[in-house]
This record gives sequence, structure tokens and C-alpha cells, in this order.
Amino acid sequence: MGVQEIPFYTPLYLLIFVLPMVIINVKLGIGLNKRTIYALFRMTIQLVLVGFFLQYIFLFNNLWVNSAYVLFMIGAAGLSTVKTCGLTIKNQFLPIVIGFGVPNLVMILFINQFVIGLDNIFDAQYYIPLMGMLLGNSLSGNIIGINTFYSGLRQNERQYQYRLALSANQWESTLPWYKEAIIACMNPIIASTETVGLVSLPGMMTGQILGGSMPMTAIVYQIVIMGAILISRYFGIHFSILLTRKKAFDRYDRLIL
Amino acid sequence: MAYLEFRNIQLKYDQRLIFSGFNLEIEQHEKVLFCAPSGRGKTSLVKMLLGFVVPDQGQISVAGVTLTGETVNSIRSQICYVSQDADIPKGIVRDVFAAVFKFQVNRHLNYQEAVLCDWLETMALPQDTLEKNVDALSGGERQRLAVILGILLDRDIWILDEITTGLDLTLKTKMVELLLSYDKTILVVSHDDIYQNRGLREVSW
Repeated sequence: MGVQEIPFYTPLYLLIFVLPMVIINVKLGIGLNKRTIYALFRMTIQLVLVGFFLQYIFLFNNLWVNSAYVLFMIGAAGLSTVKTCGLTIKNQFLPIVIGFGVPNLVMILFINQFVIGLDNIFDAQYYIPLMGMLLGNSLSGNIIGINTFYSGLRQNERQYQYRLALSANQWESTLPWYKEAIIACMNPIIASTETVGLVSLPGMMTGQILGGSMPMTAIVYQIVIMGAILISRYFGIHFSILLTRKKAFDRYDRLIL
Repeated sequence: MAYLEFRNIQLKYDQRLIFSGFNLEIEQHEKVLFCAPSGRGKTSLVKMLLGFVVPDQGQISVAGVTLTGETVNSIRSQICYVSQDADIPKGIVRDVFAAVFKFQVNRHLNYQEAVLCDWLETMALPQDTLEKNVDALSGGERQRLAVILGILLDRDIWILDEITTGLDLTLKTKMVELLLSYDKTILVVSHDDIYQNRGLREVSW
């Protein structure tokens, strides 16, 4: 029971519905046309390119090629975090990449080895898409967490200094903002873990069912990935803050980001 | 060598030169009033002692130890800093106090809540302050809590930065008399007349 193949031109049929959108936007003066068209266009090109690329990677299905692709994903995610959080690439890229790359890598290999029980834990079919899901989630969590931590300290400088005066210990003094960061990072994922399946069927499950898997198989995978996402996001944010903070303060414990 | 020393300090703040070739020596147990006009960097000066502001040039030493990145933590642990805005940590007063005395450097102090209760009375704070959230207190109440915290921490050097703002005259007098009766090295930053004629060495620049 495989999935029905889609011919390359039929997605264009969707444009039939884009046309009335464009007309309504013009009539009502809603300035969304340019961005909508651009987004659809860009999405198509991007995915086609990734598709070609992945086809080859799946063809080779070699430990090193697959791992290189995973490292590329980690690097891209790291870069995105550094940029979004306004950190400096020179000082903070490596700590971020290690900070959330390592927990996610450990998690994916653990799943492949012990939970799914693959013969080849670097098999592209599992290694790459599952890692993509873990990284994507860790990325958004990291951005929320890192931002919360450093902007909390920046906005409450006097409170932070007062705590430093009371405790003379950077770790103790920053603890309230550290906790806040972990909570801010975890809140969205805890909420979506709670409601998964009730509000919407998760993407991976939908994909698997479309691909011909039995719903129960798809659900077991979904349970695994939800758990893994929650766990690696948690350790990812701890490691990321712990590693970035080494270069975020000067010798006098002053925030220099 | 004096107990506290500022030697040849230069400090720029917002492109403006606040200190240049500044020198000051303070002996142990001396009580000093910084009363320079506004904008001359009184708060910056005391913050330099804590390493929150680092001078562009010059040296600071506390009890014979030069302030550097390596010594800043041990120096901080000898200083009690009460600031004008009393930024005491957020939370319920009882928990905030308990947490401060759980900090590694304060653990030896053997803090008892009963002692805090006595102090609340001395400082004319109601006993139910203990259950209140720091955010729900008035500026004056927070100020007094910060002073109590400072006394309980029992450190050798006290920095009192505009701590009388928001207090009425009776309370102010009581607090200042109490604080100055301690045998500590006390640095006061204030424009308040309340410190006049109390034997403080006035320092201005």
C-alpha cells in the first residue's frame, strides 16, 4: 500500500484558488499579493532543490555523507540561533552548535539503536528526517530560551548586580533568569505535547499514514518523536546556555553580549 | 596601606570623563559621606569597589587586596551593598531571605527567621511583611528590608547608596543612628542632611 504518486504538474492546479485570493486582495487593498506569490514560489524552489539533494543522499546512503548532511543541518540551525538572538558568530557559534548539536545527536542515535532497533543507525531514511524534526524543535526552543536568559539579565541589570553583591557568585546570581529561560523554552513544547492528536494530527504521523503505514505504527513513531523532542530540547537549552555564558560575561561577571 | 584605596582612577562614562587622577584612602571602621554634586559619579565610585564599574585606568584595593577579575568575588563577599532602589530579589519576603542565606558565601551565618521578625519590628514593618511579595511592597518598605538584609549579612564594609529616600524623618533618623552605631567601615552616598554632624568624614570632588 504505497502512496499515490503525484505528477509534477498537478500541484499547479492549486493556483486556481490563488487567483481569487489575488483578486480579493486587489479589490480590498490587502497588500499581501506580492508576499504570498513570493512565498509560494520560493517554497517550491527550495523544496525542489532539497528534494534533488536528498534523492542523491538517499542513493548513496553512506554514514559519512549522511553525517555530513546532519552536521550541515546543525550548523545552519546554529547560525540561525546566533543571528536571531543577536549573538556574535565569532564567540558564540561554536558553543551553540555544540550545545544543542550534541544532545540531539545522542538522542537520534539512541532512538535508532535502542527504540527503533535499526541495523544501520545511520540509515538516511531514519537518521535525516528524524534529526531534522529534533533539530527544528530544538532550534525554536533554543531561540526562546537564550533570548529569555540574556535579555532578562540585560533588562534587570540592577537586580542582577544586587544579587551579585549578595552572593558573589555568578551562577547563583543569574539563577532566576536561568530558570526563567528553561521554563520559557519548555512551555510551548509541553503544551503541544499535552494536546497532540486532539487539535491536529502531527505532520510526521500524517505523512506516515499517507505513505501507507498503519495508524498504530504511525502513532508509536509519533510517541517516540514527541518524547525525544521534549527531552533533547530540554538538554539542548541547558547546554546552550551553559556553553554560551562562558564568553557572555567579563572577568567581573558583567554581561558583555 | 589604607583599608580601602582608590589610586589614580580614570573613568569615562558616556564619552564624559568623570574621574581623572582620582585618589582616595579610607581607613578601617571609618565612616565616610560622599556628598559630591549630582553627576559627579558617586554611585559609579562605590560600584567600582564592587567591580560593577571598572575604571579605564588606576587601581582599587580592599583590605590589602587589589581588585581584579580573580579577586572580585572575594572582595564582593566582604561588602554589603544597599542601593537606592533596593532591588531585592523577587518573591515572598520569607523565601527571599532564606534563599539569600543559602548562597554559598552566606551559609556560615546561621540565619534564623525569628531574628528577621525582631528586625521587622525594629524597623516599624508589620509582621505580615514576611508573607508578602516583594513586588507588593512600597519603595520605603523594600528599602528597610534591604537594610535589614545588610545588617544580617554582617559584612565588614557597608555601602549605603541613598538609602533614606522615601522614609519619613523619624524613621530616617532612627535608621541612620542605628546603622552608624555599628563598628563597620561605612560609605554613605547621600545628599540628605540627616547625615550632617554625625562625625562622618565628608568627601567631595
